[in-house]
Amino acid sequence: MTTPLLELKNVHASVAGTPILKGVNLVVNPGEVHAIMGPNGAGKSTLSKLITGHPDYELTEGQILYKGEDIAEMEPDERARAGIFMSFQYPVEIPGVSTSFFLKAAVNASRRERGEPELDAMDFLKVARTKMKQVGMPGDLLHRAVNEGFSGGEKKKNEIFQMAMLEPTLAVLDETDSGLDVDALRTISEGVNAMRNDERGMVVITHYQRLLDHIVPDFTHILAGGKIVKSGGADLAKQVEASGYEGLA
Amino acid sequence: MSAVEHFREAYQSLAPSLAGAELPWLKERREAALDALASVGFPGRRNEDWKYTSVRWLGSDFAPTVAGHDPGDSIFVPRLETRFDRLVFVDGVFSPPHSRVRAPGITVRPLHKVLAEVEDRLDGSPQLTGAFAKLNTALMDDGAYVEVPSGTAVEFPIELVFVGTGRGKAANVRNLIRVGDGGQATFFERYVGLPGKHFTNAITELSVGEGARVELVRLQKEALGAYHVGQVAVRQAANSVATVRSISVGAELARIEVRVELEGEGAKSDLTGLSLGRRKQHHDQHVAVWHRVGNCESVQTFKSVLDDSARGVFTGMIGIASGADGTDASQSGNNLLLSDDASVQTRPWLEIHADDVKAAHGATVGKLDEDALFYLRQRGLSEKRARSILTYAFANAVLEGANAELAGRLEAVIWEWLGSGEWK
Repeated sequence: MTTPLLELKNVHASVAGTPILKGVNLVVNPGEVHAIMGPNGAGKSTLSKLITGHPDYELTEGQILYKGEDIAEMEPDERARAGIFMSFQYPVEIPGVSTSFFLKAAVNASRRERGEPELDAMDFLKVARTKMKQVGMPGDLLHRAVNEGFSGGEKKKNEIFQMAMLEPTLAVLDETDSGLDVDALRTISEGVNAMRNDERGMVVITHYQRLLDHIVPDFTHILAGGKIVKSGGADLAKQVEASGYEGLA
Repeated sequence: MSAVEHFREAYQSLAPSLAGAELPWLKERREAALDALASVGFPGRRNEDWKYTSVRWLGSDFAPTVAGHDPGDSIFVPRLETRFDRLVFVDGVFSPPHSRVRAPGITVRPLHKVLAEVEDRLDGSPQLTGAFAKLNTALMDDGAYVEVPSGTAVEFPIELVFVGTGRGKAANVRNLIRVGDGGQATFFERYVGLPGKHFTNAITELSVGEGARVELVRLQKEALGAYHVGQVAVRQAANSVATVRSISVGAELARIEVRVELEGEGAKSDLTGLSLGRRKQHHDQHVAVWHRVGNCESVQTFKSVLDDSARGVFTGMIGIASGADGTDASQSGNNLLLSDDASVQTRPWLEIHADDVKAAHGATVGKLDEDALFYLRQRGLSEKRARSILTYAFANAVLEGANAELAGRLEAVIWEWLGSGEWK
C-alpha cells in the first residue's frame, strides 16, 4: 500500500483562540481529487490554511501528515518547497513586483530544494508562455505587478498558472470558483484537469457544486461545524445541490 | 570650543589657500557668511526646521579640506565602475585622475577653475539661508560646475562623485549647475565613503531654463560613520520640468534638503525621495517647494524604510504664494517600519496664500503586509526573501520614470541594502 499524500488525523484547530476544526479525518492518496464542500463558517478555509501553515492558524490536537511525515512544525515556505500549493481564495496584490520576477524566484526556490538547476530568464519565459496559454492567461500579465489591477478572473487564472509553473505534489484549491463567470470557470477547470495525474493529489474546497461539474472529484466530503459529516463520491455534490447542506448535516 | 568658533578659526588659517582667495567679492562674501553664522549659530531643537534632528555631533573635530593642503591623491580610491562623464572629488578636493569629460558642447569643470566667472551665480539661490549654507559659503573650496547651453540635449548622465575618506575631514562642496532654455540633461550626484568619520556639507544649486528638462539623481551612500548635510536648491523657469530623486542609504546622520522655487508658469517639479536606514542611523528628508507663480505643478513622493532602531524624519513643505492661482501641488510621505524600535516623524507643512489651488497631502506609517508575506512564502520563498521582496516593492516606487541608464544602478542600491544577491 502506498503512503497517503495527505493524512489528517483527528485535527482540531483554532484561530485567535476560537476553535474552528473539531476532529477532522481525511486521507488523500496520490492521484486522487477530493472535494470539500460545506456551508459558510464550516471551517473550509481554516483547513486550507492549516495544511499550508498559515501562522494565524493553530493546530491544537491531532496530526497533519504529508507523505507520512508530520508537518506541524514546518514553516509555510518549507511546506511549499516540499510540494504543497494553495490557490488562494483572495490572491494578494503586490504592487512593485512583477509577476515574472516573483514567479521565477518561486520556481527556482523549489528547483533548488529538489536539487535541480535553476531556470534562467530565457528558459523561464519559454516555460511560462506555454503554461499561460494552457490556463488562458493573457501574456502581458507576466510583466505587470502581481495581481495588481487584475480582474477577479485574471487573479484566479494567475493562481492556476502559478500552480502549473510550480508543479506541486499536493494542490489545495480554496474557493477557486468564487467570482468567476462561466467561461473563466471552464478555462480554469481545464487548466486544473490538465494537471491531474497519478502522482498529484488535489483538495478542492468549494461552497458550490458548479465547480465540481468541471473538476469531477474522486471523493466528496461535507464539512460542517468543524467536522466532516459525510463522505461519498462525485454524486454527493449533486445531492448538496438538490437538497442543500441542511439536509445532510 | 563651539562648532561656530571652530570653523571661524579654521577659516582664518585657511583663508589664503581657499579657492578664489584672490577674489575680493568672494572674500567679502565668505566673511559675511561667517558673521551670519556666528549670529544665528547652528540650529537647535527649538528651531522648527530642525526639531527632530540634532546637530550636536558637529562639535569641533572636523577639519575643513582645501586643495593643495590635503593630498587626497595619496588615499586609495577604488576605480569607479562607470562609463559616464564624471567629475570626482576626494574629501571635497577635485581628483583629475578619476575624472573624465568627453561630451561635446557642454562645460563640466571643477568649480575652483571658474570661480572668477560666477560672482552672480554663486549663492544665487534664495533658499540658501540656513546655517549650513553659510558654513558652506565661508569654507567651500570646490565642487562641480556644469553649464548646458540652451537647446542642448546631453545624451548620457553626467556623474558627480564625492568620496569621503573617513579621516575626520569636513568637505564643504558646492555644485553649480545650469541648464539653459530647452536644454536636457541628467545628473547623477553621489556621495560615497571609505569607512571612518567625516562630515560632508554639500550644496547643489541647480538653475533650470525655460522649457528645459532636467533629472538630478542624488545618492547619499556614505560610510556609516559619516555625517552628511546635503542641500539641493532648484530654480525653475517657465515650462521647465525638473525631477530630483534623492536616495539616502549611508551615514550615521544624514539630512537632505530639497528646496524648489517655481518661478515661471507651467513649470513642473517632481521630487521623490527614499531613505533606507538601520542600526542607529538618523535620516532626515526635508523638502520645500514654493509656487511663486501660477499654473505650476509639483509632486512630492517620499518614502522611508527603517529597521533596527533607525530614526526617520520627513518634512514636506508646500508653499503657494499669493496670486499663484492654478497651482497643482501634491505630497505623499509613506513609511515602512521593519522593527518595533524604528521610528519616524512625518510632517506635512502647507503655507497657502492663494485661493484657486489644489494642494493634497497624505502620510502613512506601516509594517509589511502579513497577507502578502504569507502569499510569497506559500510560493516557496523563505521569510527573509519574502520580506526583502516586499520591502523592495515598497521602496522601488522612487525609481519610477528614472533615467534608464541609472535605474538599474539604483535598483542595485536597494537590493544591496536588503542584503540580497538579487541584483546580480
